[in-house]
Amino acid sequence: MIKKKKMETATLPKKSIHHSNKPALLLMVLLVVLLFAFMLADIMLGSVRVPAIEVIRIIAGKDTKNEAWNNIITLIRIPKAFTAMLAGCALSVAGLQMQTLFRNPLAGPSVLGITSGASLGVALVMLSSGMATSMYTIRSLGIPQGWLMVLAAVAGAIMVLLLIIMIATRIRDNVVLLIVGIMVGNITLAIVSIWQYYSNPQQIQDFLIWTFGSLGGVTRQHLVVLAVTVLAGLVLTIFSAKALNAWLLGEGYAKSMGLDILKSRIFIISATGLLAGGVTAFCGPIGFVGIAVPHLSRALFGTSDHKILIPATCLIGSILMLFCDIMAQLPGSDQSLPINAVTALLGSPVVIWVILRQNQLRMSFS
Amino acid sequence: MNKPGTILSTENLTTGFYKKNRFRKVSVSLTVAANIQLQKGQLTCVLGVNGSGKSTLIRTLTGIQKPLEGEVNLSDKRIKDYASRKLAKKLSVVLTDPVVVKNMQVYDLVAMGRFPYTNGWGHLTKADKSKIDWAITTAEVTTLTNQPLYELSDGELQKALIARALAQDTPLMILDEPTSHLDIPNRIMIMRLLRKLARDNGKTILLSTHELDLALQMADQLWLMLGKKIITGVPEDLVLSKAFEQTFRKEGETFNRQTGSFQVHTPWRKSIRVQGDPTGVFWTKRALEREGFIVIDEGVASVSIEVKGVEAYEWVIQGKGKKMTCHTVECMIAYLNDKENLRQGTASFENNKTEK
Repeated sequence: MIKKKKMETATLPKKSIHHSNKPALLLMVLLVVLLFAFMLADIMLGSVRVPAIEVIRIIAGKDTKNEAWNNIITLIRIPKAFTAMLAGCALSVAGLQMQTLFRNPLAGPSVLGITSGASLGVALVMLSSGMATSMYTIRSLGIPQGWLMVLAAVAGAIMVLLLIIMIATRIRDNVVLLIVGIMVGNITLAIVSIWQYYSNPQQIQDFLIWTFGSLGGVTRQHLVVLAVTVLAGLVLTIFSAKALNAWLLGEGYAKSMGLDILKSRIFIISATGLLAGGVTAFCGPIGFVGIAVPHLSRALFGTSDHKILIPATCLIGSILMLFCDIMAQLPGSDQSLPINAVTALLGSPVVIWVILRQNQLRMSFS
Repeated sequence: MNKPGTILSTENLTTGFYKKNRFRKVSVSLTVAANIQLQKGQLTCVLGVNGSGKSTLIRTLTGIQKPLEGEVNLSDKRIKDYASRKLAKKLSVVLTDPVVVKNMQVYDLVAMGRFPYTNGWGHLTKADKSKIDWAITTAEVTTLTNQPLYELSDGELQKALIARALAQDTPLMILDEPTSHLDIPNRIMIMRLLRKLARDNGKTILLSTHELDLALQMADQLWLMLGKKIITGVPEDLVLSKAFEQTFRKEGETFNRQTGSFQVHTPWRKSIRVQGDPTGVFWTKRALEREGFIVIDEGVASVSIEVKGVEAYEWVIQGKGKKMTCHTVECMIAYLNDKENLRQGTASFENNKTEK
């Protein structure tokens, strides 16, 4: 469908050489509508199915026939839906920025080891304070500890990003970056296994559950912490929109057009660190969303302009994560799947699709 | 800081790079203590053999790379003292870095040139848009405006990159090897475009290239990378002063100062005199030189060829008491190469004879 559209614009003689972004605006509105639909579905569906009318009544603050429904929705499902949206948006936007900054189509928070770095930060804090990391223990943490975890995760993420920047400026090779990402992941695993060696079985199980990723571990209080972190990251990203466009042409051109390379890098890295680190602190390392969604939004909007790609990626990321969460709940059953398994099942085909189109990718990035 | 009429100059500029030894950093200089000027409104070509430091010089002059020693002055200031945005309004570049970005169209690429002028959000004002349109028209990419970059040919992409640099609206444009990877018609097209920009739009253009022929024809000034020095001058002066020859001298190649081109073939055979119709003589000479004969216009030679004809050419070969008329160059060469014919008395023939 996208191809057809492109052909039409290519063959039609254009009156003016200016562009118009009208189709982008229309698509954006469509995505917002879709987002609300998925949000409603995510709140409705689960082990207990709540009718849509009741959901709207509860959200509107009206009385409901069933007090249990009220509790399920306000205490569990609404925080979970918002967490899903925040996580999907944050990881996707982080992935978009990394793909642009490194000019690498396979970059993403999980691939380059950013989430591993964030996990490592969390793990080190947990290890030194003797806490175990699981969604159950996170639930029992207070707000200060919540901020501490975010701080540790963001610091871990930014450390890995700096390491990757250092390597990326010396060795201009996409594969090297990916290998570094894998190695950082290995170091995390090694430290975690040392931790496990000295831990009791209960803690090990807790950590394993955490690595599966979870959207349900965020309470309303922690949701505020997460939202503030993600929002800060998004604001930084929006300020970088113009710079990100310049980065598309590579460092040499970006510099020649008057971009302050160092300042811009610091901005982008901080934004990515806040987005990926914040989400990882509360939800665990969630894979594939960060790498897959930017490609989907580029394909859907047919643009390379970050002023469109940033909101598009955020919206698509949120919708996709809500969809993953709905799938993970296995509607109609009282079982559920770990979110990481679902994102991998949905995200991997996208990554494979990206690699299969490598021919075009070589031309488009490196 | 610069003399009037000069837009860019260097003071004892030493360019090069640092190589990391196991123990310390060692500097490797490519150009030493160069004092050169770039004249306003002129097209200047940097020429030099591979590895002579053309790219390093270009990168140093654009401020992308730091000089080992010395200074680069742009307009009234040292280039290192410019704020990045101010510099971007003075100097635009076309690099050899790959730029093909997914989904990016020619218009988007050219619009990037407005980067130093737009606000923090990158909003294009009416003035920006008219500058973009002007750049697109001037660089002759109007028909490509809505084409994605990956669909462009190398020549078209180069033109689009020049359009981007034009949209940046700078008095000085520096291009690193804009004609490499292009076929001959595209090379000529790019050079003509740059020539036009210098002459009609008053742009100062500096480019590095391997195209000796084109540079000799199109450039107002040449910078020759000779050893670690840079020799500057008008192309014709550099040819006559033998600087050109020295720069490109290599085994097996001779520079013909009469034609201003390099001969790949070294003469090793007897001399032949060629006379007649000028066009016919020109191509006959080329064929004979390729075959290794020394071609002379006047004087005594054991063999002479007369080229006759206006529409259909004829070659009358005389020598050693024999006469032969050919109707194609191929026939002429075959005749000359046949040992039993005119090659009697030539050195190579005698060698063959003694072998027998």
